[in-house]
Amino acid sequence: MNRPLKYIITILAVLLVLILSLDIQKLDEYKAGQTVAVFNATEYADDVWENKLPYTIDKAPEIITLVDFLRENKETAFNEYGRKLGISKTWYFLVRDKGVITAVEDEYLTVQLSNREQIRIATSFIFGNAVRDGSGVVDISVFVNMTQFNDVSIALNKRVKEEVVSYLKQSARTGMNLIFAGVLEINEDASDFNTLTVVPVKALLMDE
Amino acid sequence: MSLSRFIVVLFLISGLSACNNRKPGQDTHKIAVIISTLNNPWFVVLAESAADRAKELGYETTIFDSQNNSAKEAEHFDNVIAMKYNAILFNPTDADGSVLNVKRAKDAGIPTFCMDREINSKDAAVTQLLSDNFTGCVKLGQYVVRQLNKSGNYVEILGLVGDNNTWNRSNGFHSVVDEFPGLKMVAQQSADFDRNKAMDVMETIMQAHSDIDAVFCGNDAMAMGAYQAVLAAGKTDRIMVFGFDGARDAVNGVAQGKIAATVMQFPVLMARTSAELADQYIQGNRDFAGKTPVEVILITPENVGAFLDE
Repeated sequence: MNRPLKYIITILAVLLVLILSLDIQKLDEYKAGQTVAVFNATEYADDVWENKLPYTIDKAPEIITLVDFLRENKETAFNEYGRKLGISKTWYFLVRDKGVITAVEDEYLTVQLSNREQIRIATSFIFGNAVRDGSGVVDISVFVNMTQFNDVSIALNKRVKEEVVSYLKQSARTGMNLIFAGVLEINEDASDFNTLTVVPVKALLMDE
Repeated sequence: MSLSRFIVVLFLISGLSACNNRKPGQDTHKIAVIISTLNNPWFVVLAESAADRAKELGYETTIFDSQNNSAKEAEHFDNVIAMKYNAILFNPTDADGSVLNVKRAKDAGIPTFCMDREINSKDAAVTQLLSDNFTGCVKLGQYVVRQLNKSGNYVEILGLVGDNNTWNRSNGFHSVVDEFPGLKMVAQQSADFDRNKAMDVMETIMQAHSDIDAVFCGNDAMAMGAYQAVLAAGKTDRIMVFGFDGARDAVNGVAQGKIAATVMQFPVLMARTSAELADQYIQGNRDFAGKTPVEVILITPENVGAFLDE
């Protein structure tokens, strides 16, 4: 084989290797492929509130049961009923129960349970992540960033304020029966379970 | 050229490309710590804690300072990839801009573990350890509301606008205070997490607004700068200063009545945990949560005593 032809074949072979190792794409096509759908926290929270939370509420323990368990074996109670996020000492417990309203304060209702213990139902300062993290149905790994994840908290708290708190503020009176579900926030170092405050996610008032 | 020489040429060509497929760090045990800036003591603690823990675990460690410059950061990634480090402990300069760097490292077989600041990606980094800034500022926001008795004028001094932490903190704060119509934000401006810039910003804002009751700063360095401005203006009995980080000077400031409250993060915990997770990955573990929030603690005059010796 003459020399020039050999050089041409060698060069072609090198070019072939290079071309096969490159992936050329139009810039417009590449940018289109990178487009990320805009996250809608309200839609996400609505789905949690309407389609997922009701099922987890059905499986939630009564407060009386939980508190007895906490007093008897705190660590096991935390692990069995509690949920927490990441590295934290704050645990959330989805609970349900019923009782009688014994006081209506500016920021909470006081409710006496069937074992005569009293708990509070928050009607103000509904902030933070109790509903999001206590529900057990919001998975942090599906969010691109913490802003999206935190926007879900804001959206869920809005549902609490607009649907549950406004209802309670308007209609709750001392002496009424209350059936409710909500989330407790308890620090794992806590030893006193006497004055617990529930962030309500569901409430039904009935006259005495 | 003979046929045999031609085949040798083809083998050489394929051999050259195979060199790039060699697994990084096969003969070395090195971890890179790439930090947004060493010009801020908080990040010095983060970097050194991560590096120290990696060394304890048996790794050769190098700290790279990105100087808050995304081009510098990209350069560091180039070097780390070329030098075939085993893992990167990473504190990004920009939540969006830094994603490509992490993906490049991933493509080169080098896992990245984000510390303190996140990147906007679900899967580029192995995991991201982040202070729960939003929740911390929800707690702080509630404290501010109570301290101001639900009424008053306040200023917000933001951190770097390209840092998600800036907005997580601001969003957490506003998710609370915006619910109270008696509280009015009279000014909001960025001071880039810098103490001196915050002092200048606060001085300027005080000249424009004489009736300020509080200033919320996105970090303690800015809070200390804002406090200096308030002190110079003789308004320490009028304007409450709130920060975020739990830096030593700010915690002392809370104890001394200079700073109304701050939120303590745990950079040593985040950094050490990142190094340990990197070690687990190198040892073969692949089961990691995409994001791990780390709880923060509100520090007020009521509880500061427990934190003065930390």
